[in-house]
Amino acid sequence: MSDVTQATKTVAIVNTQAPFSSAAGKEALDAALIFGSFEQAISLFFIGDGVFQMIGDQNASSIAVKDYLKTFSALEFYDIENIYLCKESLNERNLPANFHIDNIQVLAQNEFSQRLHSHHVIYRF
Amino acid sequence: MQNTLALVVTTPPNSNLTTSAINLVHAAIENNVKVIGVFFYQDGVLNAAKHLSIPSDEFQTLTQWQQLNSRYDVPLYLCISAAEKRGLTDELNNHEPSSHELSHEPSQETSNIDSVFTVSGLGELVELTSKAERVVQL
Amino acid sequence: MAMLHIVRDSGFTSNALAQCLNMSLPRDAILLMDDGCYNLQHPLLLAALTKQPDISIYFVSLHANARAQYSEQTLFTAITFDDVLKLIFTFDNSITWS
Repeated sequence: MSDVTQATKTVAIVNTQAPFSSAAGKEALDAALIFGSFEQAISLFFIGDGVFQMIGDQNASSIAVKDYLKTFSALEFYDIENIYLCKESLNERNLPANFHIDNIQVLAQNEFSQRLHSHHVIYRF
Repeated sequence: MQNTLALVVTTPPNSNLTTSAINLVHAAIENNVKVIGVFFYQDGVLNAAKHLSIPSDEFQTLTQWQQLNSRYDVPLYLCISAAEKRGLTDELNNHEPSSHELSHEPSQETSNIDSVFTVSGLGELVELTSKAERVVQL
Repeated sequence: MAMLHIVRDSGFTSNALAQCLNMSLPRDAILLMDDGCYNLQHPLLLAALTKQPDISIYFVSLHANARAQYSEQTLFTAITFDDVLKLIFTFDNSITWS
């Protein structure tokens, strides 16, 4: 790849779908990791059913899904540290703050939205 | 300075949503906005299927992409990893022929991807994202 | 930064419209395209007009007319694809809800 400029733009990947029935979550994570490997400034956002991707104690292999959720732990190796989750989406689904990776920031809707607005390019999955 | 735009298409060729993406590219060309690339991801990769057969009285998505590429030099980038998962490949003969295939004439075709599409990877999305003034996902 | 929200789904089948409204801030705009035009009469969108009076709402007239969707709201602006392109460059960023 010729001349990808050094992270002048911030990119947000917004996850809005649950993990297993569609490939969206995995394809979003694939994209995030590539942006990370090119040292681009990337953040991950989880809202709506997207929050189901981050909750702990899931068992993908029992329904013959390759457990791509394990790959989320690779984010830190690419310095992807901005991982935001919408508090209202968690509450609406009556989910505890029990996640399968550590550095998740749960933000109230307004702050979540403000953070999202600060990115130059937004991809929604 | 000419404005630049990149498009990410995630909808399949038989959806009217893809027609909207094509319309937006046409609007860009008519308004002197340079489309530096269209990146096909998720189900959008199906737009590159060479053998897609849409009845002649219906909207010809593939013909539209071909024209945008040949007439207006709009680069069309196909995410090959997403494409392979959906049955598209440019390495059709790169496997050992099965006994079933040996009984027939060997196929000369090496790809079921239309030639106007550039086989690429997510790195191309990174490049388009970094270069275009605006990026729109459709 | 001011964001352009592109809504392409009917709010009667998906929560794309609801999520879009939850994420919108005062200087943003909402653009209804494709099946998003079915939201022209959606109660959530009409309620947003009073709750978020600063927000601008556009719809692609070609797409709305094709679906026999109309609006008496003077606050909704009917636009063409050329205008869509202008909006993309007027706003700092965009998100597509579908």
